[in-house]
Amino acid sequence: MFALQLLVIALTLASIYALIAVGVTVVFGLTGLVNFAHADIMTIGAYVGVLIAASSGPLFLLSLLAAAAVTAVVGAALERGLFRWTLNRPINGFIISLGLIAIIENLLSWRFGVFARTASPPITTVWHAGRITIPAQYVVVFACSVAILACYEAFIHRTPWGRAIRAASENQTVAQLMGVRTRSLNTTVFAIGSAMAGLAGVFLETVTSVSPTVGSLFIVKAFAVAMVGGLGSSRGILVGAVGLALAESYIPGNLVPEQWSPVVSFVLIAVVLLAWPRGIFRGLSGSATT
Amino acid sequence: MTRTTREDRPGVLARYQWRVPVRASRWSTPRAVVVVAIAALVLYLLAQGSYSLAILGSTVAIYAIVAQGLDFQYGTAGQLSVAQGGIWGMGAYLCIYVGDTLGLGFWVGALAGAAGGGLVAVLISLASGRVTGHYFVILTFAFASIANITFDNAIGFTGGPQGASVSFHPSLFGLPLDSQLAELGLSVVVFVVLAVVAYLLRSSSLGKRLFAAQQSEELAYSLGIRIRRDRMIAFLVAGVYAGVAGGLYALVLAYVTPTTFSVWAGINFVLMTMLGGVRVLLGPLIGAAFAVLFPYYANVHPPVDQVLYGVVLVVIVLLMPSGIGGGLVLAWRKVFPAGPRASVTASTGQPAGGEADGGGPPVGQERLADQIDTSPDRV
Repeated sequence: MFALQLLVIALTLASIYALIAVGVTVVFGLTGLVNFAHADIMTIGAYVGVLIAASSGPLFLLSLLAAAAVTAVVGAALERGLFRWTLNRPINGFIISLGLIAIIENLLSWRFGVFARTASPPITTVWHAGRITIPAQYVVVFACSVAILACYEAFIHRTPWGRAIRAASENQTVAQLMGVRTRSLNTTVFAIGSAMAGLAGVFLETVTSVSPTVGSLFIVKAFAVAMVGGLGSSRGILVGAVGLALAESYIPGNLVPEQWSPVVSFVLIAVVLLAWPRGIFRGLSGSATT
Repeated sequence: MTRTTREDRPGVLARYQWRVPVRASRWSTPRAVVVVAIAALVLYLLAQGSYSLAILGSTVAIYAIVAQGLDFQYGTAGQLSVAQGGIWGMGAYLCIYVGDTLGLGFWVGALAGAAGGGLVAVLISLASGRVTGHYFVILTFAFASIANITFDNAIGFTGGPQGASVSFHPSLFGLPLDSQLAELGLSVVVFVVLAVVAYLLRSSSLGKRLFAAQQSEELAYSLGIRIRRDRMIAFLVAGVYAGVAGGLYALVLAYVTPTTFSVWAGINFVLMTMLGGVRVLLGPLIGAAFAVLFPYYANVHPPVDQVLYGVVLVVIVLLMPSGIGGGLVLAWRKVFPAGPRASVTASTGQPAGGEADGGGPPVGQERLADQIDTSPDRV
C-alpha cells in the first residue's frame, strides 16, 4: 500500500529530524540561544560523508566517525569563538546564527558547487515486503538514529554529566553554586549537539541528495520538532519528529498540492506556538504578562 | 522551574565594543525633518548620474523605508522580525495585481500594498498571541518562508518563478512619472515622509509606551500599558511601511521575481537596521545605503560576497551594537557636546561610574554628565 510506503520514508526522515532537533533543544535549554545555523552544521557533516564516499560498511563507519569529529570541533569552536559572547543577550546570538547560515552555506557552495550531490549509499540491498520497497539503507539510518538517541537519553538521565546539564538548564546560578562548570558545559553541549547533527548529515546524504542550502530547509523542521516537544526538553522530540514527518508525508499530495510540502512544518510551528506557547511537553520563555 | 535572567548583565565583550548609548531623541520635529530631508536630497543628487545609478538610488530609498519600519518594530517595540522581506514582497505583488492586472493604476495598487502589508502584520500579530522574543522571531521566519513558497506557487496571482512584469504609467498631478529620475524622486520623497512619521511615532506616547515595555514588561503592564495591543500597532506600522516599499519597488524595477523576496530579504533588512543603528534617525538610510552599495562596489564574486555579508553581520552584532549610525552620533556629540542633563537612575547595563566590572566606559563618554544617562539603551 502506498500509505505504508510513505511510512517507511517518514520514519527515516523522522529519525534525521530528531537527531538535529536534539542539538537545537539542548542548547536552548542550557543557554537560551536559538541557533539557526545548526542545520548547516548538519550539512557540513553531510559533505564530510560525501567526501569520504563510503561504498562499504567499514567506510561508512569511518565517515560517521569523521563527520561526528569534524562537526563536534566546528560546534565547539563556534561556541567558544562566537556564541559565548552573546550569553547575556541571546537574541544577538540568534542574529549571529543567521549570519553564520550565510557564511557556512556560501563557503560550502564555493567549495562544492551549488548543485545537489547524491552519493550511492554504502548498502544497496533493497527488500520487498509485498508491494513496499524498503531500501536497507533506510533501515540502517533508522536503527542507528534510534540507537544514538537512546544513548543520548541514557547520557542525559543516568550520568553525572547529564545531571549537570539538566541542572544547569533549570537554574544556572544554583548549578554553578553546586560546582557545575557551566562554561565548559556549554561547549560540551554544543559539541555533542553538533556531532549528532553531523551524524544526521551523513545519514541524510546516503538516502537523498544534499546541496549547500538544505540547511535552511531543515532548520525550520528541526525547530518545529523541538517546539512541539518544548524547547529544552529532549523527550518530546520523538513525538515531534514522528508527528512532523508523518504530517509532511501524508498531508501534501493528499490534502494540499505537492509543492506546498515545506509549508507543513511552518504551519505546524505556527499552530504549536498558538495553542501551546510553552510547547506541548515542557517549554520555556514567552512572557507571562503579555 | 526558575530561570535566571540572562538579559541584563553587560557581556564580556563590552570592553571591546563600539557602543554608543542612543538617547531618546531630544530634537524638535522640524530639526528632524530638516536632517532627513537633507540626507534624502544628498541621496537624490548622488543618484543622478545614470540610469543604473538612479535605480540604485531608488533601491536605497525603498530599502530604507522597509528598514525604517523594522527599526520602529525592533528598536522601539523590541520585537525582532524577519518577516519584513515577505511583507515587502506581498506589497509588491499586491500592487502589481491590483494596479496592473486589475488595472486600477499604480496609486491604488500602492495603497493596496500598504493595506495588505498592514493586514498581514496584524494577522501575524494575532496569530502569535502571547509569543514574544525568540519564538516570535521563529514565527516570523516561518511566515517569511511560507510567503516565499506562496510567491513561487500561486502562479495565477504572482506569475510564479518566472516573475511578473508591470506596465504602470502613473502620473502625479498630471506630471508623468515614467522616467527613472522621476521614480527616484518619488521614492526619496516617500522615504522622507515615512521617516518623519516614524520619528514622530517614536517620540509619541505610543513610542514611549513601547520602549517602556521593552525595559520591563512587568512594570509596564502593572502601569496599565496594553503591551500586546501596542506591539500589534508597531507591527502594523512596520507592515504598512514594507507594503508601501513593495509597491514602489514594483514601480521602479517594473519586474519582480520571488527570489528577491526570500527569507534572506528579511535577514537583510535586519542587517540594515542593525548596521545603521537602531533608534538612530538616519540609521535605516545608512544601513540601506551600505547594503545596496557595498556589494555593488566591492566587486566580489558570489558566493564570496555572501560570506562577507555574513561576516559583516556577525561583526556588527558583536562589536558594533550601535551600528554605523551610532558611531556618527558619537562624532556628532563630540562636535556639539550636549549640556549637563538631569540625573536620573543609571541605565540598565551601563554602570554609571564608568569603570566597573564588565567593561570600561563606553567609547567617548568621559564626562560625568554624559555617564549619567537618562534613557537605557537596549540594542
